[in-house]
Amino acid sequence: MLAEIVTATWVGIVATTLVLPVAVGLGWLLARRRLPAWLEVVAWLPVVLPPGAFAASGPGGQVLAAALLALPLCTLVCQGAFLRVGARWGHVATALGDTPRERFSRVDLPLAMPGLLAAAALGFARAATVAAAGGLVLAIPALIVFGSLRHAHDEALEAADG
Amino acid sequence: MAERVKVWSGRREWTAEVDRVELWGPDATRLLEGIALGRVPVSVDGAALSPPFGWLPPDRLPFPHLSARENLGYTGASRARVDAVAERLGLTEVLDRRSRSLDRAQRERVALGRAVLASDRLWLLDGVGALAPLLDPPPGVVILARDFAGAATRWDF
Repeated sequence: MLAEIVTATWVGIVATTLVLPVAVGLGWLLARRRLPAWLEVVAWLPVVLPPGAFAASGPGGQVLAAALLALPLCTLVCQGAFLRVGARWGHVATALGDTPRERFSRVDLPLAMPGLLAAAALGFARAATVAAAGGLVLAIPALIVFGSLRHAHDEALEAADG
Repeated sequence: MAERVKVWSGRREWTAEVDRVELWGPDATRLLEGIALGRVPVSVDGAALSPPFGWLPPDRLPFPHLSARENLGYTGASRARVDAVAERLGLTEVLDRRSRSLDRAQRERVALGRAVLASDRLWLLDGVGALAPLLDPPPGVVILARDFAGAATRWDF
């Protein structure tokens, strides 16, 4: 039992470390840019693939499976964090002479930090759970959770557009 | 007199031979923001300018995650200049406080200080109003502003 907890914990940490930079970048792009729909579909793919697709063996396989399943949740929470920050502060930074990279590191990233930390915590929980379940996870509860998040996210998008 | 400042957007252009211009009308905010973001071209003394500009946005808010000092020095102004502007704006006592903990009047002054320290060529002040007495523009700076009683001319939108 203890060995399983330890394994799930380190798989969760490694998977979250791998996933978070990707999720932050993807979440920022989804929040700030009009991207082709297929990119969002790719980000969501792990949610709708059959659970068996993630049955993994070996430490590397476990980390990969956990990372793939944590990616959509992390991305969505990161996207929400950037949407909550809004584009306003970025505009001010642009007027003050920041390049897009400076704007991201000096304004978007620190202002979205609470949301990004939440994404990391949720990503870790998701990845560790997947690892504890040996890669076999139930898709339906995950879809229910993602559905409700998606609804909240759409409302945030509408509010941002309005 | 020589043309001091020119702004052109689409097929329209506005020019002024003075360096204090009030922008008036419902589209004034949009034009100021367009200039601030580099979407609407502007030239001063015949030279096209690009950011950084001294933009005071209409909400007059400083960056909430930074202290008043970090806001004032956002564009790299020296500590001495930041201290001087802070003293003039009455912000010396609150310089090291997070701007989100300041009251509304202090936040407005931090945003104004951030704008005046950002550029010595062009200030874009979206709503001067009661902040006018705090303005102490250096020689040569051009000010395009909304609600600006000290302007020498006015552009209508």
